Amino acid sequence: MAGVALLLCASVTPLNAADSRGISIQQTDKAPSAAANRGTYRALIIGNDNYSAAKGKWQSLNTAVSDAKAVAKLLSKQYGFTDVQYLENATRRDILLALEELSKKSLKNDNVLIYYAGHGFLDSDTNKGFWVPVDAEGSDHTTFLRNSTIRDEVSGIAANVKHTLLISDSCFSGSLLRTASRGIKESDYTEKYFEKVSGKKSVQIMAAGGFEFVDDDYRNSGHSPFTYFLLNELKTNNSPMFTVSQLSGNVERAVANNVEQIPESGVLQGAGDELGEFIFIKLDVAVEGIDPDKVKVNVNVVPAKPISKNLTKESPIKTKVVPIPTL
Amino acid sequence: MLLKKFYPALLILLLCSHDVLADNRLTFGVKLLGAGWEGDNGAGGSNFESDKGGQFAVNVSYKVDNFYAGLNVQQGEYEFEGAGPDRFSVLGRFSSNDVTIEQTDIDLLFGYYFWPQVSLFIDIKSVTNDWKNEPYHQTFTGLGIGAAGYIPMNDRWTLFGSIGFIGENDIEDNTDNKVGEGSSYALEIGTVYTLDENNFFNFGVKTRNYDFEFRDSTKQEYKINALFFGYNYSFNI
Repeated sequence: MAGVALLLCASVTPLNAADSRGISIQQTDKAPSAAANRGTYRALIIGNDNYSAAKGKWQSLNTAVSDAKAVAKLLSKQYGFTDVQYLENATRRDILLALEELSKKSLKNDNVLIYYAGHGFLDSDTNKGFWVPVDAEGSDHTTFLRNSTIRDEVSGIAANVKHTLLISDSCFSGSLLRTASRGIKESDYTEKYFEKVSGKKSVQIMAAGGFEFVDDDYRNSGHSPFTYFLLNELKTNNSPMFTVSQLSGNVERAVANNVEQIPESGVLQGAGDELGEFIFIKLDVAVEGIDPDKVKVNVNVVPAKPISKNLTKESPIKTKVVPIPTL
Repeated sequence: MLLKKFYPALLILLLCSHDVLADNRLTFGVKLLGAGWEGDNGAGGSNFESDKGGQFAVNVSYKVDNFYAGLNVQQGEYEFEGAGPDRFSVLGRFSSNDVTIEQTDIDLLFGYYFWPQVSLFIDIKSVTNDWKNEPYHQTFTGLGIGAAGYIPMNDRWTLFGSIGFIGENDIEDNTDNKVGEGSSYALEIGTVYTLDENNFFNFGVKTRNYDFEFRDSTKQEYKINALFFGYNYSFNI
């Protein structure tokens, strides 16, 4: 099966067709082209707004759920993510089970994105960071999700797949990462570069803030500043291939220019990052000089399938459907 | 004809717009109720109890995030050997013996989960009792409110329940004349077995209680207790 086919539906003849690491590219003299692997694009999207059950300490948020929904929608509609699991107001157990599930079903060439929007917490004594699930109990750290736990889970997923990206839109989320600039200039983003980094393993992180509080609602947009600019970049990006380094650089600048918050990006330490790049492939791009109706990008990613690896227990079913109440 | 009352709300239900990745869920269901109808015809009347009875229901519901809307249509018959519910018309009171009554319930409801597992709902309900072989039927229509909730026990089993009431509303006979007023309350509890992400079985018990007062001041009370078994097919849209 072809991995990615970038087709320019104009009356031009493809100049060449590369097929390495499952790459299938049809290039024209007009269309931008680059490589990508053939894995499935999967995402686990978590949005936690409702902290009413969190025993007092945690106030409910306004935008985390809408952030998560918008990200999930954008990825599936415009970036070819065929397996998007969306968790709303997730408990600690929900998150861990979803990460476990994701790890089990992911395959070696997959591209896995994990997005979290919700409360974060930093223990100032130990400098350890946490995600705060909706069932957190006050200041009891044992009911949070420790960064080291998140790191372990993501590392487990990263071990199975080619590219992993963790995006954390929460306070103190920068405590998750180790900064590692890839030192690339905009002019370096050539087809050869995309081929090179798509073949190398990547385990990257984008965080809304370093060791600081982050805002909830940016100018009544219904989104946090970080996710607002993340969505903005992904929507307005007009390249068929877009690396996380490009994305994070733009988002960091945009956020820092507008609010008192500095996002960070880097790699997950010790998870096998080989300076590869998670590459976003946009399905609908404009090409200069070509009628937009005649530009089409087809991404033939492997359809998401249920878990196929050795399962030791039954998969959890999250959906709860009860009969409608009648009088 | 009854459906005419629900047209505006049906339109709202059908035209509900939705966000693609919101939690949009469409659910179709069927339900079989084995039920007994018993009550008291009030002063000068007899107590009554059905010998056989049951109803079959079909329903559809649509959930968008915390909001849901649903339509349930339920119909069945109750046979009374001996005394049955008396009939009250504008002409007066008529006793019923050895009768079969066809009952049709239509519920159009809208609910909202104000808490993660608890919702409040309104139910526009119509109950029509049609005395078979008699030129008489009686319709009780009202707006009810209620609360519903569920408790997941594990991945497969979920307890659910609901309670609600309909305040004083008119009872009309087959000539569309008001013959009295009535109120009602209902209580339901059951459990859902989740087969997979799309298939859900449920069973439980339900009781509905009706207090009617007719124009001649006769108070008729009855309740319908049912055991039910149902199936829902649900999917994201």
